[in-house]
Amino acid sequence: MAVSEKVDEKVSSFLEKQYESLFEAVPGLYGVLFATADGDPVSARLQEGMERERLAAMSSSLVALGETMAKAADQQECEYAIVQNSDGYVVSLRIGKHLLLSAFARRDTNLGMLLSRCRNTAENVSAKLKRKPGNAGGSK
Amino acid sequence: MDASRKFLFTGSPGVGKTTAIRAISDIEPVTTEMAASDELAARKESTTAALDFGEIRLDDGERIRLYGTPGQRRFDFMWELLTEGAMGVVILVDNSRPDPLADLDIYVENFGQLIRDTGAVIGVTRTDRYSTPDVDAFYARLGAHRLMLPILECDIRERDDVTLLMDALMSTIEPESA
Repeated sequence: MAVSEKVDEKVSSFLEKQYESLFEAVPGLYGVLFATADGDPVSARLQEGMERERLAAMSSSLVALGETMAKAADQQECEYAIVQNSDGYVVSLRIGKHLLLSAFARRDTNLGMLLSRCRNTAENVSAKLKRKPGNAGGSK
Repeated sequence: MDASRKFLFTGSPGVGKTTAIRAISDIEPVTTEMAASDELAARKESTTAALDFGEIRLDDGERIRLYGTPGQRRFDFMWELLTEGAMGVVILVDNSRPDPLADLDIYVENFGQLIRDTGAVIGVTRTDRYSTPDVDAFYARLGAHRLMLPILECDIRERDDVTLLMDALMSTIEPESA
């Protein structure tokens, strides 16, 4: 459950607050992952047994395919890639050009709440990175 | 003959799998590029995160579907998915990387079943500036895997070179037509 060593102490503390806020606001949420756009894990709070490296790479593929499919369907910006399963949801979204956020929740989770809180978190992280370029592997 | 056949392009990150497919595709390729943040970022802005897709349309109506894999090992789940139904694989190795023979090992091992069930060809790139390891060293390494496959030096930006790789691959799959 520890924050990745890839982020410095201040960013780590900031992300901890984001985790707290997300988990508190979204009952049923059991995992959150930040990754680089090309699929390297940056920071995660995941249930035991979930593989952060694998999930980070899959998040990248999922968002990349979502964006490609949106284009093929003559649609514009991919806001969320959502996988709805018999017992849960996987939601992945971009945080700017270089980072991704993925959230994992049980099926009894309110999807609207999950999406909106993920969006809020992405915006918070994006704003933080703009103030502190070079942190969290997100600002190359 | 099948109306459609599927072939894979795989190999080292940044070797030019997307470029190779673009060089021979008769349609605008589908790409899934994401901003690169790993060691590749020094050379390239983006990297394939899911797949590339292109198509060759032959005069007899046959379509040859070309799928490119992500290069990084963390995307090995895509390697498994894309292997399904493939009839052969082009493995591209970048000779400018620190250990091209070790790179060859990764793809030969991970696509081993596909190679043995169908066929494969090895394309070694950037040999104009990086002459070692030479082709003999690659043959020797394949021999250690008990494999005999065509190995060609190539510039994957050149349509003729990529076509030559595909011809060599076809020859290994359909020796009667070689």
